[in-house]
Amino acid sequence: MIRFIAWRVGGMLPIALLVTLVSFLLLELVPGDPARVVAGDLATPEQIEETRAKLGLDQNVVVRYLTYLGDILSGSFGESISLQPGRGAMELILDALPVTLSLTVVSLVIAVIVAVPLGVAAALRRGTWVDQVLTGFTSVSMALPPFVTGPLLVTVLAVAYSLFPAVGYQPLSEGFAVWMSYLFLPALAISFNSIAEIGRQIRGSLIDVMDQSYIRTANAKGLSATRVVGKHALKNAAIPAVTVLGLQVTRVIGGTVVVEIIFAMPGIGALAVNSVFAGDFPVVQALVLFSAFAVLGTNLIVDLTYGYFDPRLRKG
Amino acid sequence: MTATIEAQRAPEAPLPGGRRRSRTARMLLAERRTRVVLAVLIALVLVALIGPLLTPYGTNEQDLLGRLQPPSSEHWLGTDSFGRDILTLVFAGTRLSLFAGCLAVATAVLLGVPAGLLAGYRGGAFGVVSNTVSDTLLSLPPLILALAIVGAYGGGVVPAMLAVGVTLAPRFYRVSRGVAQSVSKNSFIESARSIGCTTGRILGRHVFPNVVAPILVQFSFSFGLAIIAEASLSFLGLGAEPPAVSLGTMARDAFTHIREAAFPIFPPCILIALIVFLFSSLGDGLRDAVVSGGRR
Repeated sequence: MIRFIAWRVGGMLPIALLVTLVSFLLLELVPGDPARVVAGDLATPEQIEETRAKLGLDQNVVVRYLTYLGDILSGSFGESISLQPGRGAMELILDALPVTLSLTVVSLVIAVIVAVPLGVAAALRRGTWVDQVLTGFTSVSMALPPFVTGPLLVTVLAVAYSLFPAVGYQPLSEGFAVWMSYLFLPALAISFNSIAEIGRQIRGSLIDVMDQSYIRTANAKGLSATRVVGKHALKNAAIPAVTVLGLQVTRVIGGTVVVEIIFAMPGIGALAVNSVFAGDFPVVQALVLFSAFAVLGTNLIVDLTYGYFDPRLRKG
Repeated sequence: MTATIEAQRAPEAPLPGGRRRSRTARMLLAERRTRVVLAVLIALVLVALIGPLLTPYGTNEQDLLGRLQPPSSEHWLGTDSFGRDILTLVFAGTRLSLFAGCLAVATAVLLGVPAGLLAGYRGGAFGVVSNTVSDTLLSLPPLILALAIVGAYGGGVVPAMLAVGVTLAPRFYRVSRGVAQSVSKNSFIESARSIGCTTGRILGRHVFPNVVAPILVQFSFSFGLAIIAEASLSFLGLGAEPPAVSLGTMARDAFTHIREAAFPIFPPCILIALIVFLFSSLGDGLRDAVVSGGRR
């Protein structure tokens, strides 16, 4: 297992390196003078020169990239220049992380809670009206991006009926119920797409698994239907579903951007939008790095769960 | 000698290609659902193109005394916070959304398909490098990258959609590479190579026709994603810039005034959901046709 992990991590190194290059080039390829861009419109020529020296822009591009890479390796991701001047870009991200993490986790939990029974029901009643209704539901829910569901949910549930607080965020330390009351609507808004994808995947793979002979054996042994599906079939059907769940993380990270703005939550997505509007490039760069590494980390975890579900894959 | 051979082949040569194309089209359109969805999509494109001519209002014709009106016989879908006719805006917004989708997906196809074909056919060092690049792009969340690029290069639909196109390219790369890899093992590829066809000709004439159908499937799914990305960016105020109108900017405007009037949020949101639904159903239909087409 350790060799499997090491092999996986090793395979990700070139990708991680390229990601740092992308985030480096982001500032490098800005049209015009990056020092002027970073220093802001009101900067005097002296301030621009000062910024240039501070950013190391008076040096050769390769030297600059290597310096940037060295900084990242030593845990330094640059300083915010306009949002909260002087604070580390990574500090801002870590401040916003709990919000986005809560949102992601709650939305994926909602997605799994809704999608798994849905997929199982559709698979076991394949071809009947139950299947058709559920498949129709997933098709529609696939077409509902967070920025459509978000405003609609706010309009209907928060503004019209005041069932939930319309906007804002309270940390978990304020109590679970309070935390959840603020999280539920935005998380639900993000989860529609994931419900559709996970539900379809569970349905498809469970249909395949149920046709296999070990399921016939389990049935023949006289196991109850719940045990056959729950213990034998679902574990194998879960493998492709875990992949889809992993892919959802990328999608959800994208979805949180819009949803955090709609619901006025101080998360990473809102930070990304604000830093773009404020021209805070070091924060933008750090965000690109951070989100890419979050995705790579998720992929790694997904790979490792394969190993858990199916020991044959551990060999690598 | 060669002249006579060419003279004999020339009149027949166009047939196989043409027949193959119509056979692919027939296979893809075999399902009724696919044909219905395609017809609705074509109608939608036509409406988006000629719609503005049908309404008596201009896209930026403001009536500040008649802001946020409910639907009436004069304004079928009411007016927005500037008193603009929402129906007219819906036409203009749909046009921009479709244009944005085309731009992003065209970028993705142009980047992904040639690289994928070459990587699948040749493999080797080129394959390793392009795989790494594709995996890197897949690890960058599209919206975050698009935000960063718009932040660096300024707003507007074009840079934003080029950025989205880059993040969609790995999907086309993977599809083309997979097909090219399996097709390259066939003996007709070996024969083409043995009579001295260049790599470009082999890929263009012999490998590419095999990826058309799976690429069309991917095209449908990616189009929906691109439209969502454009609408999201415009909603955040980083996509379409006034006076351009997109479904995203309409939703933004409606959401800002949601406590004054709830209705204007519905037309743009429903239309985006409809467009995305149509493209994903088209993709489903085409995918089923491709999967079953081989067996029939």
